[in-house]
Amino acid sequence: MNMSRSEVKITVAKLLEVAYSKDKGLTTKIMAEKGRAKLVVDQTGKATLTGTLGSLSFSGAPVLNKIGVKIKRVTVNFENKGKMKVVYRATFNLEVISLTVMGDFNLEELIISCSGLLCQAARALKGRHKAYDMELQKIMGR
Amino acid sequence: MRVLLFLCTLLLGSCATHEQGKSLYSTFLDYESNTSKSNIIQSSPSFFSKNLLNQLNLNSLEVAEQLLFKGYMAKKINNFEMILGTSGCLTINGFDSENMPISFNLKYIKSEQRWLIDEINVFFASDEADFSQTAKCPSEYNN
Repeated sequence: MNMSRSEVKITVAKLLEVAYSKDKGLTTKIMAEKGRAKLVVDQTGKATLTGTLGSLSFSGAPVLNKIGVKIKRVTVNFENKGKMKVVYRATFNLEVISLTVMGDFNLEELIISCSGLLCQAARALKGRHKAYDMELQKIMGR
Repeated sequence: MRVLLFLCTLLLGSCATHEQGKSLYSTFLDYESNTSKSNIIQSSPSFFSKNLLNQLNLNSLEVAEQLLFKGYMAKKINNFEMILGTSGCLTINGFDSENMPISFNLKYIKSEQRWLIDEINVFFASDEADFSQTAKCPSEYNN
């Protein structure tokens, strides 16, 4: 089955969640700063989140491996417009096609979702938690 | 005899012109109506470039599904194309099965007088306002 629109959006949120779980302070600082930030994940799962206030490296492999589709590269450009509103454009390069999605989310809402019970339950189940996916989908938009 | 030769030349010339003038969109429609799960691998050289196919494991189900990217779009609205010499780009705007806006941005290259898909981008738009009103190449979506 090809990757769907909502899977792309949920994956972006989950990658941010992994960054946040590795370094809450730096992830928040990069994402909360008004202006641009960029997330790149290569085919080995090596992920880098870069903004004007710093750079964070982490492994995106646990998120990408669960999708069940071979991913060559993920690139997400974020722009914090202020008041916690972040717009983004994500491109997933698969084997044959690339998928691009645009959207926006409230950073605070995303962080709160990741500090709550649903996020903890999702982690306990190694990310396979339907209710949490639905919550992320709601935050990231249809 | 000269008249006959002239007519033959004219006829051949017009055929060549017709093939060269074939729109990218009509090539896409050929792909759309002549490919299915059962024949996508065998028919892929008719619609996709060697450059694209050579990088792929054609025995993979995942690859076959992606070659059938046409399935992402349920309804087409409009299309725009741009040809520059032996390459061109086609943008098709439409809606998916959940009635959400979606676009295909395809790069074509000409090989042996045929237009073949060389790169594919599927753009999940948030709004119809995101639809491009000009042809976009996939490279424009690779950040």
